[in-house]
Amino acid sequence: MGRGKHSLYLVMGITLLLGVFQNCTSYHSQENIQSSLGSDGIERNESWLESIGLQGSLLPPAKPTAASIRMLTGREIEGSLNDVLGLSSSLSITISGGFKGFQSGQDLVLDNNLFDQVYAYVEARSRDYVTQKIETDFACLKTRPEVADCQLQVVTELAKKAYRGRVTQDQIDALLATYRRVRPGGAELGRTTLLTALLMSPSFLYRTEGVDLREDSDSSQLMSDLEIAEFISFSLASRPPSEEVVDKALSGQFSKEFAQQWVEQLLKSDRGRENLVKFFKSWLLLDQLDQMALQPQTFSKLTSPEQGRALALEFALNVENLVFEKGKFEDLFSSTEGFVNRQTASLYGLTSNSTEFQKVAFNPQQRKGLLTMASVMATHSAEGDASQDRPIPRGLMVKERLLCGEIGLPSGLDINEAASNVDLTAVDFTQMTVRDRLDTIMQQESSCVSCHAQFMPYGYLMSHYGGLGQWQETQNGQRIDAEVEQVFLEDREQGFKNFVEFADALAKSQEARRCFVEHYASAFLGRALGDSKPHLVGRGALELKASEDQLIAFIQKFVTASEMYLRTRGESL
Amino acid sequence: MKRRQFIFRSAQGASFLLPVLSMRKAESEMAELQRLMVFVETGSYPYPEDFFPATAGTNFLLPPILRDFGDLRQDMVIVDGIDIRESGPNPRGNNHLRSIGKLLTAKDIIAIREDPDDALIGGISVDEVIRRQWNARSIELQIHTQQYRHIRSQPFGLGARQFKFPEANPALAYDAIFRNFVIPQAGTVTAPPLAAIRQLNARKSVLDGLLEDLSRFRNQLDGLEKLKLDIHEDAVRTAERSVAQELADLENPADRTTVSSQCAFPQRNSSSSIPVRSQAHFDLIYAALVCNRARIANLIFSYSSPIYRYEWINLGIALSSNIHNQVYHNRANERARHIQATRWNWNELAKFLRRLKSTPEGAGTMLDNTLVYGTSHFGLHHELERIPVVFFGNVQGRLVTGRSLKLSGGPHTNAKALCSLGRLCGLSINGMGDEPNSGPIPGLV
Repeated sequence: MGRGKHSLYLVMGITLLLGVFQNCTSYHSQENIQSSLGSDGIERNESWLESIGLQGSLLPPAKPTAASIRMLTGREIEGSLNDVLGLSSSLSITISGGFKGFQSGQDLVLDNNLFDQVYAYVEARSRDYVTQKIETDFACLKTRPEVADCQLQVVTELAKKAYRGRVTQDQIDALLATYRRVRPGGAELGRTTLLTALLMSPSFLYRTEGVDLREDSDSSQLMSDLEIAEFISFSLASRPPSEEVVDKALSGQFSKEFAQQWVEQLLKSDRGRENLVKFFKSWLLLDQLDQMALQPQTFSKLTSPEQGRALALEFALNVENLVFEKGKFEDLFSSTEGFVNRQTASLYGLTSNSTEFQKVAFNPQQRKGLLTMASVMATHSAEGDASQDRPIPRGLMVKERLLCGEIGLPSGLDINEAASNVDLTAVDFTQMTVRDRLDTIMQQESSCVSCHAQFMPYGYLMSHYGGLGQWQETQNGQRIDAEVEQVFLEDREQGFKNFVEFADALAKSQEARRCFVEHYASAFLGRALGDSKPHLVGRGALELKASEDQLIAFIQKFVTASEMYLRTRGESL
Repeated sequence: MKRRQFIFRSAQGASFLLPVLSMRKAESEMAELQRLMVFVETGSYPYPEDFFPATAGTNFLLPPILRDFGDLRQDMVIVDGIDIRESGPNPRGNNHLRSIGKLLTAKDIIAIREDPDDALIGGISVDEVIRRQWNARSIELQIHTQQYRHIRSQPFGLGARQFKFPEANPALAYDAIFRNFVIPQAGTVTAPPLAAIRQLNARKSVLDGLLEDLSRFRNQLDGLEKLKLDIHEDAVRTAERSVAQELADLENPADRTTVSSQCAFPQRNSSSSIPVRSQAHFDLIYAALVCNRARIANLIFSYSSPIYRYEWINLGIALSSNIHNQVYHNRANERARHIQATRWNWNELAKFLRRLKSTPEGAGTMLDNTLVYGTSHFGLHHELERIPVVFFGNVQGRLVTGRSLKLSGGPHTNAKALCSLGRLCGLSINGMGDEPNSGPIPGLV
């Protein structure tokens, strides 16, 4: 689209024109958008990056991200409707695409089935609004509903909110025409149809990334301020930017300084906190934690249905405490604070009679950081057996999600063949710890070891945490040994007595920081990082360092960096 | 940017896009086949002897997986020797994506640069070719606990990069198929329900407006993400056709001359249990076919590499494991469980076939007028050779059933099976996808 499109905008026209002249404070005023490091007060510390294996990472990606559109996810549609209509939702809709477990609409397409689903949802919410609230919001509908001015006011105001500032006269005219065609069938039908048409519009259902880019350039350009504001708002809080922020973006006042303050507000809002917890769940592969809360009956290891719900809540409380109260990256792995209530206290060797959660200090010999919480360990365990740990998925989680390692299948290994060489009846496993069982199996088939050795040692370090995350010294009558002498961290083999000791090392690890940045970037952008990965990870590592490890400060800087919003023209598919 | 033309909806357009396919209906005096059902089973990975009879001909013994098809033995042709061609992208090197992606298209899949775990369908699938030729409505369903938008779930395609997404929730599928449908009653005339007609006209207005809105939105994008909007626009047009059909049905209610007297609403079910969903989907397909709400039904059981535990048949899979990890990847020790689980999958189809067979239609049964194509995407383990292929129904006498067919002198790829399927449905085609001249399965017809 050419820039001439802006002249069509009904509401934004004048303010945008003002913005063109006043954009001294907008994102576009940054002197060097290709690399805003330095202008952000963050040192371009190439030698430090080299020391942690990220040499050359600040070079711009060879293939920048293409401009694109993305459909709102179910959560984003819900959040937007709540904001536009001022109704709290009693209905929910589940639509998500995503990458590596991080939800986003990047790859969503509104196909036949999804279209029907979204339409039914939007129509139901529209009917709710029409029957419950529209006449309160627009008093003219009570007194002079058929007057053209009143209809225009309703359509214009709702469309401005729904389309996040971008509404054209053509759209207003088309919506009014739809209303007038249907109105003879009754006021409720007419209004519901109008609202459905308005909310099924692509202007509501999609957000754009770079549709305003100059057509005469193939190089990277910044998205518009409004697109940047939308991106930040939906990514952090699954809702559209407020009208105030939209106005700032349209008037050229959406500066990086403002954005950073706004990011903190978003993060600390209810939706922002929920999204942050969702990120941590996705990062640590904890989808089953929600299942434990919603369908506790399928997890026979739980002592009660309430325990499943309590574990989910415990996780959320811990994330919020670690991010907003403790605040530093290292706290994610070194904090000994946590929360218990009467459903979970016994898992930590404590007692509580309260249904409310209370903050407690754990035994530092047994618990350190988020990964040692019962909620995390219970999720990475079997559904039905509270006594058993599961070193394989736990080890995979550490290797892939905390250290960003890839599990390489040894060349020529036929997994099927290897598995069929294992005789599970040859040994009596009942008197062994889980670790001993797995070691015995591995001894039968050496090719198994070559692959499992890449990740299982991390899981062995967690052997003390049973199927509910409870600390245990023995298993099947045998003493548990969680010590591992050969664990890879920071590109070298190290030995650790147990996971608590390993957690201390993770807290100091640059490798863990790099991996966190990589996953956070994936979650925030909602896509694979592709060719941008080295650049974003390098930049993020510098920002985390410059923020003195403070997570909120890091997120503020990272998600407002201009590099996040560089796009180039071209096909993204 | 020039707006994409939806020329493929016409026969002329289809032949433009698919020059290798002649879309002319076979010049035949025989009546057109009434219905088609495509069943994609994803849990096979069978030892050949577990799925295919040991001998060819009519005097064959049913193999272990199809053991319970005794009463359907005379209604089927089991084809042994169909391979999926080993070509094109193969993400992760395990054949999962390309086998399912090529199963009904015979066209190489398209890799996604940014996501090595997914891919796009390479071309139109055979069911869609037939749907366009028949100018009929099709439904796409998936037996699974939730929507899983991934090529592993989506063997049905409108064209390159364009999936036909199967619906996993039977309640939503029910709404789409039966909303506003009135079962005709013999000898009674009912007044058109005005409220429903008004509602549908309102919906039509919305959809008309959306097409204009999409057009405006597309103009803003100028070459970006065209495919997403193509699919969106296609969804709006599909909804428009559906509304038009519903309006026509309400204004001119169907009568017993077009809708079978067996037509009845199935139960609307939104359970996420696999056996309940399976039953609900088959009930829905039966009702959609018998009530003439669709002529083509596509159903995929689960997705490539299901991870169920089959607790509903007490398969005894460890709580910490699943059918894929414990059974498919451990074939030597788990063969009995594999047969048991896969038999359950196919037996779900068998129940449906029995229902067709017991529904009188004309001088015969509904199965005589319905071709059911059952297939799976893997041969042994993750191999592309000897995939399961079974034709059910005699196609109004054109297909000699009650046979086991063993192909020799190959290779015989699934393009031949799809070509045969198309021809049995009245199309004059010589192949499919990357093999436009494969010809049909030798000896099938």
